[in-house]
Amino acid sequence: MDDIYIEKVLSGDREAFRYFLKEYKDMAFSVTMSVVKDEYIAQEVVQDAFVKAFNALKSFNRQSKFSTWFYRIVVNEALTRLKKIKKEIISFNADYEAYIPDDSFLASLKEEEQTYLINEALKKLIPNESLALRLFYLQEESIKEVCEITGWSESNTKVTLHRARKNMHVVLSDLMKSEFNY
Amino acid sequence: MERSKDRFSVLMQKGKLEMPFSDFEENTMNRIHAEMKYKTSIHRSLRISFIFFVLGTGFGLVVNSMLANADDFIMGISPDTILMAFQVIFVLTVIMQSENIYKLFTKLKAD
Repeated sequence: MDDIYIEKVLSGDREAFRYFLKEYKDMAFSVTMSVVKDEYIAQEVVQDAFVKAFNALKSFNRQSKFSTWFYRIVVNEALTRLKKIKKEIISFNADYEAYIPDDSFLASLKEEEQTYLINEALKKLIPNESLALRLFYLQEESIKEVCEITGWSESNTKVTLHRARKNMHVVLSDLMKSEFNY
Repeated sequence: MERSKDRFSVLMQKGKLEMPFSDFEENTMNRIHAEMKYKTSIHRSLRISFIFFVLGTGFGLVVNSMLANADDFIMGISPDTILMAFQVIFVLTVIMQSENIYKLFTKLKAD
């Protein structure tokens, strides 16, 4: 499907680019939020990434999936913006001895409470870790594709994912304690 | 262990966010259209400036050869001095205009 719309855009039908906006805006927003942690900045970054992708579409060589190529642009834009704003992101220092919660409590919560907790926890993780989790679990990219999007080595990606999973559990535990007195 | 991983995977699916700004699509498309319009106008300016650059250079060369063949003093200034002054101004103008056109080209490429 992507290929059809790429051809349309390249042949001069600018409006055909709407397809990519509809298809990828939410995931691009999720990925950007992992890095910049602010909705308004994330919106700007995603818009910049879409405009960049539109301008660079003719250089897309189709050796990888369109989504992989596009998310790479999104991640680069987000990291560049992060450097620019030099926003102080309070990094979460994991206490590996911390109690890791039983998922069953989380599973017993209402759907919207779970969604709230997961997104709050992802906000508290450092950009690299929340980015790795969102790409790997949400987009269901393979390790190889996560490497391609982020530019990290395979071992680095695996280590980041492992740390991210552990930290996610610890952050969730803290949140459940503070929000639900678990 | 596997079950716990699966549960984690299911939980992570809830981490997908939706773009909260309803006008995002429209704004982005408007920006794309505006940028394309701007690019088209730059292309046109570049073409016009290139044509005038070539015409101006040609005209300068004609004036230069006319001055080189002139024998009469103009307002009491010798033809050699006028030719020298003209050549200096001509070369400087050509260099400056070439630089401007080159900058416009690279800007267009970068955009």
